[in-house]
Amino acid sequence: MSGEDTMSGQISAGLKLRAHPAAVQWFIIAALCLPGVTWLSTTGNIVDYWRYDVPPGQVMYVASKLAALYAFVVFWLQLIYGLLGHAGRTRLGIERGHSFHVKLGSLMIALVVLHAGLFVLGASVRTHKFASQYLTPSFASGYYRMVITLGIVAAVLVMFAAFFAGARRLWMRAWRFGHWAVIPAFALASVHSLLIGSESRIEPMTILYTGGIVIALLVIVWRLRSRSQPGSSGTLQMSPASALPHNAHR
Amino acid sequence: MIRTLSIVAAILAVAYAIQVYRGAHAPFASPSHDRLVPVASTAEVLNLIKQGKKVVFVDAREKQEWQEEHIPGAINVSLREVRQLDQRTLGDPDLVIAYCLKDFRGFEVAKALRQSGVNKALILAELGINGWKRQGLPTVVEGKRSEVEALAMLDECAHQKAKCQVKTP
Repeated sequence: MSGEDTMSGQISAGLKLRAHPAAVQWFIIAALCLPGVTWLSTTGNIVDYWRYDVPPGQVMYVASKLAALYAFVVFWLQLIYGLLGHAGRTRLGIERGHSFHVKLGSLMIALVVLHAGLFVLGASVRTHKFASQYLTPSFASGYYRMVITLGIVAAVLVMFAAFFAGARRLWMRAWRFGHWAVIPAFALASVHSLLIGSESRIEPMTILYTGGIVIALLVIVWRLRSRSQPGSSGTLQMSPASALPHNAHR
Repeated sequence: MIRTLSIVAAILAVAYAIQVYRGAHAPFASPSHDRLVPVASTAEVLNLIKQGKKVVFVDAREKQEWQEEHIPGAINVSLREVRQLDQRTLGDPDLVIAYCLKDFRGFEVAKALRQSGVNKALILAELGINGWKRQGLPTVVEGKRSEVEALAMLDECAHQKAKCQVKTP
């Protein structure tokens, strides 16, 4: 039985996935627009930050917030895309192949690095010293540092998961267990974002966050149920491409 | 994919144009003295307190951060809640100081307040509660210093700056 047949069997044994492709597309458009629109509503005309005198590092801070909002959305899309597998994605009309999964993951990592980098750079410029405290985990230095620490742990888990995906040729099937780190990473990133993000609890973003987390949970449950069905391979298949010989999707 | 991204880009361009229009036509949004948000030094703030003027501190951080430590008398209003405030709901103050740790969030809240008509919204020249503390000024600290104690200390600092190491600009 090929990887795709196994996946199709898992899907038919699990929850039914049905959605009109156009509805899915507009849902994705809404998910990609909301962070930008919300950020614009709080930031206003970004050109003003250059036109007028602002405290040092403020532009980096607002850019860091934008990167964070998009990092969350891209992370969510990446998580759903991976968990759905080839058959699930095909049913929803969003199948773009394994390379898209890799590109989306790379974009997400770039956004996470941009968010953290801009924030630390902005804080360093503001305080005239390297703000290393925002790169050092600490659960005992107050609420702010604790929530930042959750973000640091989430970022480390993302790197860990990406490393396992990148090194799958070395570990064969075992890489998938390392790649599961994306789920606690997503949970921590959500908590980090909701507890400290300025825009994450503004009304339209609340809907996006709540909806995104609920959908992610449903897809995770669907995925776990599919795995437990008789006849399933019992292993996590993030994409059918990964079940094929490694040179098959080149 | 390209179609989806094109639609997203078009929607964001329209949203940006709306923000530019709103910024240009908001009656209270005009920045002064080339600064998007003006600043006041702690010494100037203390002088106003000494004169009996109404100075409102707006803590732009999360509620838990405010509970841990804040400037005496500060109210807690984050960026997402700031649109509920205006000059009247703040009690017609003589000065509004928005702050956070180092004034990333404080700046954004002060800017939003000015756009809501609170023309006297500023940030501290020393930037945030960290700058306030560096001036030797008191804060309310959870489990260590009460609001009443900190307010009394602040009043003392306003009348005798030497006691609090406040640098005169």
